[in-house]
Amino acid sequence: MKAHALWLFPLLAFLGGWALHPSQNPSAPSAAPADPKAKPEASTPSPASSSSPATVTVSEPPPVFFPAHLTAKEALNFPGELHRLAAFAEFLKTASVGDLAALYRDWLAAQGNSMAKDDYYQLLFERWVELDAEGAVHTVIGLGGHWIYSVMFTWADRDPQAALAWLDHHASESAVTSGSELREKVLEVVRQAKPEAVSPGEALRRIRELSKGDAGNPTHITATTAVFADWAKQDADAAWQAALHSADVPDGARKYVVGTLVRVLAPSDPTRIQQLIASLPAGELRDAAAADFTGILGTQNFPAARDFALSLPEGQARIEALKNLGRQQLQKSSADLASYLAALPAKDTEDLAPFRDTFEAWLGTDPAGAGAYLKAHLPPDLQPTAQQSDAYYWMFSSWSGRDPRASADFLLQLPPSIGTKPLNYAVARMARANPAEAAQWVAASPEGPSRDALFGTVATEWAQHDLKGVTTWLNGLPPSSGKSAAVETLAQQVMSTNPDDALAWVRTIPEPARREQALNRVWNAWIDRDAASRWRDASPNLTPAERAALGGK
Amino acid sequence: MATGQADYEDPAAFSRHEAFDQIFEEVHRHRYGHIRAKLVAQFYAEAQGLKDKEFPQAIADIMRRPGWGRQAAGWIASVWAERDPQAAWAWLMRAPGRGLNFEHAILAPWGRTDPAGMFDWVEAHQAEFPSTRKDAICGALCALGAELDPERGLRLMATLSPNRQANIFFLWARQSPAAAGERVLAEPDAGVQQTAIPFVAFQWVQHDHDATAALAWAEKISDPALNQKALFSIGNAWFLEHSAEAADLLARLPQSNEVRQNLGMQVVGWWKRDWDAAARWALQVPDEGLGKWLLSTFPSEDASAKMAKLIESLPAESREAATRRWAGAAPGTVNPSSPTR
Repeated sequence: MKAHALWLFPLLAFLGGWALHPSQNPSAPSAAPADPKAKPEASTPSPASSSSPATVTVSEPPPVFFPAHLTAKEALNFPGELHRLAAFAEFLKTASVGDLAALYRDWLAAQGNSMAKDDYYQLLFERWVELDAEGAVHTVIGLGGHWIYSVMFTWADRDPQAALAWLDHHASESAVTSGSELREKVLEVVRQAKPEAVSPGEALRRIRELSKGDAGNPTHITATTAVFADWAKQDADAAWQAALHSADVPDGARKYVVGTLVRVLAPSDPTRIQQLIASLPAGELRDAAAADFTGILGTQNFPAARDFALSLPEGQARIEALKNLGRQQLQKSSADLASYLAALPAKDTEDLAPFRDTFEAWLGTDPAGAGAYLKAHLPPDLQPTAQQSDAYYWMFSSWSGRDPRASADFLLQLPPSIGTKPLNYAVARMARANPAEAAQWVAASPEGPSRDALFGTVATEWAQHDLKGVTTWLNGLPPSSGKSAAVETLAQQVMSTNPDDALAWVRTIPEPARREQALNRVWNAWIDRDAASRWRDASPNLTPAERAALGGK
Repeated sequence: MATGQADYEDPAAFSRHEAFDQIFEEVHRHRYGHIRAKLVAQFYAEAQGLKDKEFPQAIADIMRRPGWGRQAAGWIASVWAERDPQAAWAWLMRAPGRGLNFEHAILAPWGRTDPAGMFDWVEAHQAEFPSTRKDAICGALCALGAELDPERGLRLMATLSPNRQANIFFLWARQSPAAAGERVLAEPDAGVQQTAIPFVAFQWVQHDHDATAALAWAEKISDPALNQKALFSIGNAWFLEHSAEAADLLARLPQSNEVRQNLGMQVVGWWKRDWDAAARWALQVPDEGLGKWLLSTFPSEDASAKMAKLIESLPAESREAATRRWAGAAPGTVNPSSPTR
């Protein structure tokens, strides 16, 4: 395929001073060059190519011409995303308030069918707020309020005082926003407000007033920390003191506020922040700040950050700090992470569950390396707590989603106390993509209770999409405890729609005791109990013994 | 990140790098949103100035910037693809790392300009796609197939990733549910049809808000199991906006575990939004057992007083049955997410 001539538009326009006519559909250019290499690249109109690096400025970009009187529809027809956005921005320059309101109505009516995504709404609101902010807000509310947050934020970004004043005076009249929703909007507006327009003290006061009795609400915490992030850039000492002592900071939010200050201030003055952290009283606040600080320091001076982390006493702060550094090492390379972990004191890597997300990421980029490390370091006799078990499950979940077979092959080699749960997930993912392959894989895995459960997993996934396929598979399997588990799972899947079929399947379980237990479990899992009882009492297919086993007469 | 002029052989390339830097600085000055018309225009103008050979470096530079970087790098890739899609594609296929997910950014401009050419090229070169990129490529092709040429997309997925054919219907139905609906009824692959019919049904109601048309379409499905799957999806998509009608529809379906459990979860959401309407419906749904089971999903706290008041407001002829039904329910004992008796 030939490269097309979209690049020619600005060039031709620049060289010839043309304004392209709208009839020149950019998606079907008529003057495509036969040879893309014929492009006169050196003369592409960019001031960057003709000005020295020292004098470059973005305030006057090179001219990019679009057809005169470009419509929104034409703008959204350009093929490349940036090209579309730039064209849409061009359209907005001459759009009237009426055009904008009409376009917004069209997009709302088109719902998901519109080509307009969030970025286009953002551009639309930017222009609309510039022309008529209050009208934009009223129109958006009048049309259902779907984008009220966006339009309010845009207004607040442009003119926070006006936006706040509007909210103060219209808090109760909006038909589309409940009191709490509007309150959150106010908080967001305060958070977005420019510091020069709303002082940190006023912002915190507003947040406190609005947060009465609900100080732990994440929205309020986010609003509070955002104010401090701005404040720290203006007056770090005042912000730090307020973070520790201000009555406008709810106690539940204090550690987040301090963490924010650490993240904002540590890059420019790590020594000072280290001193401030050391001056905090021992406890959760200092722990959290120390972990945050380690992450920041690690990007600047890794050995110092590691020493700092290792100087922390055993506990959550030390774990968090070491985790932060592990993530940073992985961003460099998996070899760096492996070296880092190997150099840590043994006590810090005895339990790898806290490093869950680090290993999850490592398995994503280098499953062989991560797998080798895990195999070498996971204690074979580990009896994980519920929390550790969850951590190991999630550690492998992304890998299992991407490459379930490789993940399953690996998990089979782990101690069952760790590997069973994630293995079940990997096999489910394998079966979802290719149930026959998953069935083969399970059949080839070592026998035992874990394998029986995996047979059930395959049957569950397979039955969701292909009942015929799963029954053919089960009919071809020799009797085994795995087959019985799969049969029970299938029976449970079909019981509520075809109870007699489910019964026939349960009867293929060879061991009488297991068969009876399975029938009981399958019947009890039928949610529509009236239908279940009716079937039990009336089905001619049940033997008297089976009926009795289900509590019938 | 390369930030010194020494890293650039060409002063113009360095100055563009600096220009991008300044645009990013401007972006970060905004407290809300990063898209501003002026910045988009500047960014596009600078991207237009890139020489072909500069695109990889520009993308790598921009990718490293926090926040906006990844999206903006995709934009640069889209400009490159407008100019020379094959070169952009060849670069992407050779590029290491999982972070460079620009398949759609590159294939979209190509396909929107020359759909047949893009699909032909992909079809001819599919064997060369790195396995690590196949998922992302298929995702982009499903989206573009649905947007530009669903038949072509379906054919392509049949060889590239058969499991994803239904995804084309899913995305297509979002734009043109009637067309996708007609086509899926003629789908020769039973497996694809079985997966795609619920997708189409759901999207029809969710995005077109036309449950009547979707129900009329579902009536044409002769296979009872598939018909029920379609109705099930329509009921679910309809529930949020028209809870009572959707609940009626789901209650009329054969009460398999899947239907019953799902109806239960929908009713829980309903009483959280509108306790009175949900309770009134559950008290009067014709299936007595279903009504009791659903009433058992209601919270037990304060339920009796509220329910007694509601029953009082029912027509006289309904009160006795409603009272009996409520007495037979056990509020707070059923969680449809993990159903127990």
